[in-house]
Order: sequence, then C-alpha cells, then structure tokens
Amino acid sequence: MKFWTLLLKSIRRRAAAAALVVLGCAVGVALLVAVGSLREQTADQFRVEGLGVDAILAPRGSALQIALSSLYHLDQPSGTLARTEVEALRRDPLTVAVLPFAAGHSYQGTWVMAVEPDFFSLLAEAGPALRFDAPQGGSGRGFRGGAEAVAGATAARRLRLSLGDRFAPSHGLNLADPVHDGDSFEVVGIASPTNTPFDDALYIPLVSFYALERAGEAEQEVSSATGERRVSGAMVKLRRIRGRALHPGIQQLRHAYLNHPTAQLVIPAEVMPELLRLVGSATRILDIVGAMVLVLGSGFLFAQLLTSLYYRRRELGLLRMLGAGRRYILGLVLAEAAWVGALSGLLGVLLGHALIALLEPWLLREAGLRASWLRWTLVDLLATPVAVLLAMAAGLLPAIRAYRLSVVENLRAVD
Amino acid sequence: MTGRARSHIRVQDLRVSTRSGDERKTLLDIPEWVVERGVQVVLHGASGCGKTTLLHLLAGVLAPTSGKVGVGEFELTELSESQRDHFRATRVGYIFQGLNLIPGLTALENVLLGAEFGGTRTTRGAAADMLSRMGFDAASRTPSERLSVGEQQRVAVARALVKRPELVLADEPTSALDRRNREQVLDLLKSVCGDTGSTLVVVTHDDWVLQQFSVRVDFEALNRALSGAGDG
Repeated sequence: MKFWTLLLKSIRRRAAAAALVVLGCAVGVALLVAVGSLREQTADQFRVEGLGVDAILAPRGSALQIALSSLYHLDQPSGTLARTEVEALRRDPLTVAVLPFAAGHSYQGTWVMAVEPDFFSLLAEAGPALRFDAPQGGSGRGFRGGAEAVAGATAARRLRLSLGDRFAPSHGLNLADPVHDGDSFEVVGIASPTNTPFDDALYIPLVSFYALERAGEAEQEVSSATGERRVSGAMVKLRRIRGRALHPGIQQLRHAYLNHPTAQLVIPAEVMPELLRLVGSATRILDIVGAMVLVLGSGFLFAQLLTSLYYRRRELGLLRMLGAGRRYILGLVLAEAAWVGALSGLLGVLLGHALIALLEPWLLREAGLRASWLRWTLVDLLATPVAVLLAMAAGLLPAIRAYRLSVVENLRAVD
Repeated sequence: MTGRARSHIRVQDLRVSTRSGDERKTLLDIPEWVVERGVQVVLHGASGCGKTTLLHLLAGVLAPTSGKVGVGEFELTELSESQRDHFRATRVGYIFQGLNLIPGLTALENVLLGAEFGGTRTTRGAAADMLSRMGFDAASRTPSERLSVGEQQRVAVARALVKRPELVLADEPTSALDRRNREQVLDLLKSVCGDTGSTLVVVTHDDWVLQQFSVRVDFEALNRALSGAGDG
C-alpha cells in the first residue's frame, strides 16, 4: 500500500469537493496563463525594433492611429497626403529613404499596400529583408509594375496564394467592401518571412493603385500625373551617425513638421511604447483578477482541508494506531494539497490556452491581434509550481493540525 | 528462562491521572500485572472502568502519569513517541469495536495497510491468504465502508494479524456483531493468534466472550482506582 495510493484514494472519496477546488484554482491559473501569453504576443506584434522604419510621414491626426495603420495594418489610415510632401522630404539631407505607400484596399481581410517597386530593396537595407530567393524561404521576384503583386509570407500562407495566382482587391478594409472585379493582380513574388508585420500584407505597385482609383485610365497617364497624386503616408529611414544612433538633426526635422499645416512626422519608437503601456495596464488588471481567483481557490482548498480534517479524524487516528508517525500524517495532508495544486496548475495551463484559442477570432476582429494558442510563455512554466506552492501554503495549517492530533482523542470517534 | 524473559506484558506501579481544575482524578492504578508470552487473556469489567485506557498504554499511544509499562524487550515508558510508533507498527495488532477500516480502500488494501508502517512490506499474496482465512474474497473491489459490519470486523482481524504481531489487542471486538459473526470473528482471532504464538488481550463486558477464554482478569479488581484502595 503506497503513500500515493492512499493519498489518491483519499482524494477520490471527496472527489466532488476536490474537483470544485481544482476548478476554482485552475480558472485563476488559466487567466494568468492567457493574459501572460497575450501580453507577450501583443508586445511582439507591436514591437518597433527591427522594422527599419525610423519615422512615418503622414497627414495630421492621431500618432497612434498612424503608427498602427502604417506599420501594423490595424485601425484606419488617418487620411491622405500630397505626393509633393513625400518629394519634399526626400530632398532633406537627413533622410536616407522615403517610401510612400497607399492603404485602403484589402483582399479577404488582408491589407493590400500600394508601394513603389524599390520598396523591398530600400526596406531591406536597414530593416526586414523581404527577399525572394529560395534559401530564405521566398520565391519569384519583386513586381515591376502593372497588374503584378507580391505577397508577404504570412499573407500568402493564410490566403493560400502561390506564384501565378490572381486576386482582385476590395475597395476598403472590410470583408464586405466592394471588389474591383475587373482589376486582378498576379502574384509574381512571395517574400521570405521576416517575423514582422510586413509579412502580413499584399503589395501592389503604387501606380496600379492609382489606376484602380481611376478605373479605366491608362497607367502611363496616371503615372505622369504624380504631382496630383496622394498617398496614405511614407515610411522614412533617417541618416544614422556613428554607433547606429539617429542623426541629432531629427529633432529639428520634427520641429519643422510641428507647425506644418497638413503633414506630421510620427516616430513609432515613441508612440508604440505608449500603446504597450496602455495594454500593460489592462493586462495588469487581468493579472490581478487571475491572482485573486487563484488565491480565492486556495482559500477554498484551505477551508476544504480544514473541514475534511474533522471528518477524517477517525481515519487519521486509525493510521496512527497502525504505526504511522506524525510526519506521515503531516505529509499526507500536505501532499493532498500539493496534488490539488499540481492538478489545478496543469488544468489551468490547458484552460488558458483553450481560452486563447476561443478568443483568437475575436481578438483578430476587434483588436487586430493575431494571437496563437500555441504560444508558450514563462507563465506556463511557472504556473504549476506556483499553484503547488500556494496550495501547500493553504494546506500548511490543516497539516499542522493533523500533525498535532492526539491519537487517543481521535480514536474516541472510533470507540 | 527468567521471569522477565517469560513475561510478555509487564505493568508496574501504573498510574494514569487527569486534572480538572484543582481536582485530580485517578483513572488507573495498577500495582502489578504480568501476562506471559502467547497467553490469550480476557479483561472484563463495566464500561468506562479504564480497560481501553490500559490497551492504549500497551499500544504505546498513551503515556502513563507514573509507573512502567513493558512489552517484550521494550520498556514503553522509556521510548520516544516515534519509537513507540515503530513499536506499534511492528509488534502490535489492534482491533476496535467497530469502524475499523479506512474508507475508500478495499479489504485487501486495508489489510496491506496493517503492515505498511513497520518497514517490512507484506506481499499481496500474504494479505490475500489472511483474508481467505477469514472467509473473505480478497479479489473483492468493494470499498470497505460498503461491507457489512461482520465483514468489516473480519477484515480488521486480518489486518491486525497480517504482520504476525507479537501482541494483539482487541477492544470489544465482537460487541457490534450478531451471534453468528461474533462466534466466527472470535474463533478466527483465537485460532490465528494460537498459530502465530501472539499474546492476545481482549477487552469485553460480554459474558459470552468471557466464557470463551480460560484466562480471565476482573479489571475492576485489577484497577485499584475503582475501589479507591490506591488513593491517597
């Protein structure tokens, strides 16, 4: 008769009460696990490092909205900007590259970004390398113009697009928006994965975008009228000084745009941390709720162990009579608490990931967060040990009481 | 063979007292009591006269206020609590009046538990044999709390005897049983103890049980606290 057999049989006799306690603690663990995972995935999705974009030239409006729409394909573009503003900034000696883009079209919910053909090569110089060579996981080539398109790695996988496939973008960013039936684009390149938001978009030539806007107009005609054209904004790469630090002139450039009537310069590295701080505050509240549920569950465990001790006096007295020492009894009660904690931790981790799986479509629709239930974090690793420790803390007092029980007193329940 | 070597249970100048406020009450006062090894003895007396307390002292779960209690080579009054736990686990089989078994465990698991804490594991085969000897199906998966009182008591006897203890203490082992079960349980208890050479001390206030033993001790005569002879 093993210690663990005795323990499990003892728990099984109070299965309903134990199940309630396990479920209570598991809900707390599940919240902590889900929140921990979503926090990390949010931080990853909105990280600025590695995007290779120092600033965004955009129409005046919310800086956060501009950063979200320009880099992460979330929210709505805040308006349009004259192409002449892009050309003016290009002439500034502080800029290395100014990459105009036009947003506002989509294909099956994925944003279609209109960019110039050199977008990929210029971006790759200091940012993510959207390449088309096979060793890096890409295929095909960049577009040269006309009805050609490039798919980011994630977008191609999700939309099941291959080289040679065609798609017709919708005019708008929602699934229900009207489709440009007569204008389809052929996928000529699938970019290598960069693990940045650039992977999750389709790219068409800017000049073709203008043609879409003016259906039927000749491409050459559209191209020649650059001065009248407008863009959603431009991603800007700035000159660096030694040590890869931004040129100090960036501040003067920013100030120059402070009083600009139509344009502004948004620095994502300043805007996104603010968003993460807001997200962090929300997740901290959920963390507190999760921790409170877990502590409450441990409270239930404490009450359950203490109550069961009253009914188990006879059983514990019998064990002592059979020769079990006080430490054996202490260990039995503590191990029962630990077992409940371990089960709560493991169940909580599974529930936490199930919760993310359930929330995935909602998070994508409402917050643009592409969360994966398969993402494991440190919280997953710590959840079970912490639940076990908490449960053992809850079981300590009942265990000490059991340890102190007098054999003779308990046997009176037998006699 | 010396007297000490032949005597198995030795009680000398034993006193157990309780204090309630300023009042001190003596529950047990036994100047001397010796039982030889392998003897089957019945202690009889009215309820509440201290018979169970004496069994607790012999099992080492209770320490006397003064005096000495010895079993075999052990002087229980000189042992620490953990040593007395070990003594009980290895040398003593104990049977209660009822509610003897750990609920949730099968009969076989309860019997195995009887030898769990002594350090020497009893095999399932030995436990099953003991249950069979008690006329019980060792393969039964019925939880002990769902067995009849008679079945429970037979399982309790099997558990007390499975480790072949040198001392078996039975506290009113048949008082909750009907006549048929009462005879069966007592016969088994006496028979197995006879086979293993265990010393058996049975406590009862049942005349029928009393008649089944040749060595009978009138506990009210043994315990001077009841007559008041030892007070003062």
